[in-house]
Amino acid sequence: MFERIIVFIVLGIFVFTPAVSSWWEADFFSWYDVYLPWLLLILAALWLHWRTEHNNKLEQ
Amino acid sequence: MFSLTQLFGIGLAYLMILFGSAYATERGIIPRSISRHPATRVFSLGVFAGAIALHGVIGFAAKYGSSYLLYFIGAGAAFFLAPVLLAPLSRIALSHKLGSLADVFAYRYPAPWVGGVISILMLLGVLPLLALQIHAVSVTTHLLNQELSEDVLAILFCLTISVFAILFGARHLSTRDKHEGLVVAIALESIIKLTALMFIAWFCIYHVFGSAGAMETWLLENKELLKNTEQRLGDGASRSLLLTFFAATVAMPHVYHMLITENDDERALAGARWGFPLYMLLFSLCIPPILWAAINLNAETAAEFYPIAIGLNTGNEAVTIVAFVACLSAASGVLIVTTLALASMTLNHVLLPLYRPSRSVDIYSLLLNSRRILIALIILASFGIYELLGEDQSLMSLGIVAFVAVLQFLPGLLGVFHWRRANRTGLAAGLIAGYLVWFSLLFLPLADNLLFGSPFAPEISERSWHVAATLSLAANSMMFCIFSVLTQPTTEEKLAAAQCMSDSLASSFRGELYASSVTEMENNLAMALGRTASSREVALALSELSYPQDENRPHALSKLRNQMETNLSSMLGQTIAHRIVDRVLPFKANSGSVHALENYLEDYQTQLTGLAAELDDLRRYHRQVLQDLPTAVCSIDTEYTIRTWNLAMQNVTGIEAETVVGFPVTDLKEPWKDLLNTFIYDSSRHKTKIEIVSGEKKLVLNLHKASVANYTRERGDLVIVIEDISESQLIEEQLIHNERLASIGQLVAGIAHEIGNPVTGIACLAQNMQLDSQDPELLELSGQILEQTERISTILQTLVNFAYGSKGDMKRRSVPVELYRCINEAINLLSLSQRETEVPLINQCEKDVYTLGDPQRLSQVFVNLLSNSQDASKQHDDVRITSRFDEKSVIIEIVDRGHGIPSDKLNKVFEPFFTTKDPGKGTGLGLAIVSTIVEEHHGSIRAVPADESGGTRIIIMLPQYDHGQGAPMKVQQS
Repeated sequence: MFERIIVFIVLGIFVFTPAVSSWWEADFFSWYDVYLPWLLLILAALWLHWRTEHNNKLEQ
Repeated sequence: MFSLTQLFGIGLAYLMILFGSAYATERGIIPRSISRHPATRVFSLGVFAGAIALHGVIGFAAKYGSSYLLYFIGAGAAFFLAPVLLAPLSRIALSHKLGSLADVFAYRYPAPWVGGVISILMLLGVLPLLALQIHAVSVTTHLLNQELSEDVLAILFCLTISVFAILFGARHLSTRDKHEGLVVAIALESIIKLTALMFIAWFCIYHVFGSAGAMETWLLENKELLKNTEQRLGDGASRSLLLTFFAATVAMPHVYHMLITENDDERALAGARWGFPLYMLLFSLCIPPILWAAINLNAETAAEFYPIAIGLNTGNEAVTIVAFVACLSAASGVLIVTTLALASMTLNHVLLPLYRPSRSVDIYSLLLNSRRILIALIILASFGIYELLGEDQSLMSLGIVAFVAVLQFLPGLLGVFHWRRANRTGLAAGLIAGYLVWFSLLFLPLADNLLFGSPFAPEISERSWHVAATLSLAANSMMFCIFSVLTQPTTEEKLAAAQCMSDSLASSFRGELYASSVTEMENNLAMALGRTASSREVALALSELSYPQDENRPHALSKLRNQMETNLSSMLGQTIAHRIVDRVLPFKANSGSVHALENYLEDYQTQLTGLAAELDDLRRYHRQVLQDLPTAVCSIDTEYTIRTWNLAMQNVTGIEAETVVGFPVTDLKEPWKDLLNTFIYDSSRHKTKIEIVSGEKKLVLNLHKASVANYTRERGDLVIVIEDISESQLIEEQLIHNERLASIGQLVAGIAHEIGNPVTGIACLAQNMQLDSQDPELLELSGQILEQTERISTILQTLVNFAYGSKGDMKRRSVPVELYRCINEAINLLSLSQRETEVPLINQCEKDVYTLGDPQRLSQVFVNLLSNSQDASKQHDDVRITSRFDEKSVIIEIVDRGHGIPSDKLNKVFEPFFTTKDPGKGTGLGLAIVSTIVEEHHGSIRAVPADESGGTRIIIMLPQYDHGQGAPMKVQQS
């Protein structure tokens, strides 16, 4: 389920790449704000990895 | 400025650190916990961030602003979307040891030309990428020292890299020998370049601008300036570039090499799903500060070389050196790994199919040397392209030309895992269309610029990337789909598709081989590889599967063949390996059996999905039911080979399933071989109460058989069910015995009743005698008569109680009994008989030891036991009665030196009507009554051999009576 959400978000990024690019250039954001969604995505993938490892250990 | 010696010294020192780390890993100095750590694997993927990530992207950012992020987001997305492409790719490639993308294509679209075409196209597409690495290093070095020309610097760089690539990348032949040294070196290289870039970014923020706040202020002040210098990349171009970078990350040979070829653990990808995007994030975070700092410093170099310009413009030597090392690091990593990957691909798919070495040639040395030569040739070709490039094109433009070329593999690659209908005709059509567009819109303008310098030649611009990427991919995908739909996939392609998609029960399993033994397989393989290589490959496959040399089970040989093909494909490539193995180890036509297929499916359990997985679960459930069935079941096929041997069968026969499944019935050990063989040929379907001796056990079995015929065959497998009725047979016999005992008991009770009356009469007469007579001798005799009649009455009562299963009225008659005295009374009674004089009874028990019970009944116990001991003893042998104690019990032992009791009868002596005496001399009730009385007194009795010389030891254990309310009970004195 969570994996599908990540896939969905990444596909969303593909569709909205130009918008993300414009957002970055907007006046009211800092230059590093564009990295925040990316970082959140990494944290989600990390959590997914941790959960899989945890489940694997439980199964063993 | 730096002198050439300094630059070479720094470069050499850096490369030596890299060499050193690889060498230390190979020698085991760097522990495997580090070299095989998931973080090392993730860092080794940083090889993707080559000169483009370090230089090209800054140039791109200077021109197109935030669009530089597309490179990093595209690469990161490939790992976020690992389940779509990377995960299935990694799974298939690792399980079949597919060492390159050409192997994957050749495996999925089996045709002799597929691997070769993919290899050539890959080489053609990736050469510009290699050339730009050389370009980046030579320009960077030239910026620091102009004594030598860029070309000479490029040659020196290429030579050094060739040596390293050959030394550490082509020392082993097969991709199954992982180069852990290379992985560690590349991981170190990734760490160095990231650290270097972060250091430069930190320098820019805190030294060039002064602080992060100052940089923000500068940005606000110069916003318009920045916007004016940047061009806007269109929406379509953004998307097509994103897709291009995504595809490049999946299909680029250096990423594939580090992710799959040099990796044998599928779990490494799990860590990379977040680790690699994080690496890319950190990398991209450093780009803007460097770009802005260089603009702020009015750097005069091309934007691509701003990292080095920062150091040069600020006069900071440390930053300059760090930038130089970062450039060297990024470029060398891509060059080494890509060259290694391309060399293997070209050797296996282009050279080997064209040149077939003779069997006398040492194939291992030949392949190794060929690979080394190819590495050198590919670096030379890259240098050639570099020479042609000149300085006309930006690094990013060249990179994109290479990336769009690799993008053409995306439709075919998606077809590998997600489209069953995809076939080689579609692949060929797609690749031709895609590469034609790429060639005409990207490569030709590049070549035209280079070769002819025509002023009319179109430049590679944002528009040409976008159009070329979109058009080529669209044409490729369209042709791929149309031709795949219009043409039928071959049987081999269907099997390969099922294998890659792993959701079909159809598999590449094709049944039994013509070869019927390992030796035969080895001989056949020697026809293609020569004797030495053949023996080596067979031995390797046998050890990997843990099979013995004399293995001859059909499904095991089939598995061995697959393993050898997998191993050979890691050395020779999938196409050649498949061709060789198919030629020398062919399958029998239509020989696949359901058993062998099931065996094969066991290995692919985790790969099945959807309906196939559900069906597989159902199959497993039924199989488990059969396995755990409490009845022994085995199945035997039409060739009389054992196919099933469930757990109950293992328990009954004591034979492990692994040792018999796949072997003929005649290989079973006796008595099972004879039993099953006879039953198989027997006309009867059922046989009952068959007695056999297996090991030391006597077994009674019922056998049943049924033929499992199906619509495809007239004669089906035979299922044999074996019922072990040994225990129930024993219980049945016991029941019969008990019934016999019960009827005898009834009889005895009747007799006892009849005897009781005259005994009562005798007792009355004896009492009268006592009353009427004053003669002391007569009085003693009448007293003894009374005592004996009372004993007879007690025995008769016990007999009646025994017959009716009564336990007697113990509570009413329980008094403390001193065992010493009780035994003495028994001895006194027996002294009346003549045997006492011949066999003396010696009471050695301790005095004052009590038990709770009936003194008369206990006396009867000892009378019976001592009498039996006397009967068994020879003249003048004595019978000794001793006692010992434990915490709560007293143990009386009666030891005689008689003929003893046979060991097989020791357990039966306490059963009613069992006697070892001659007929007429014993009723067989004495010891049974003794046992009953002892049990009534909460004790136990058993008989064991006295010692090796003979005799019997009767051991009676009775609860010790604590008569003093706190007085200590007797315990054994040690």
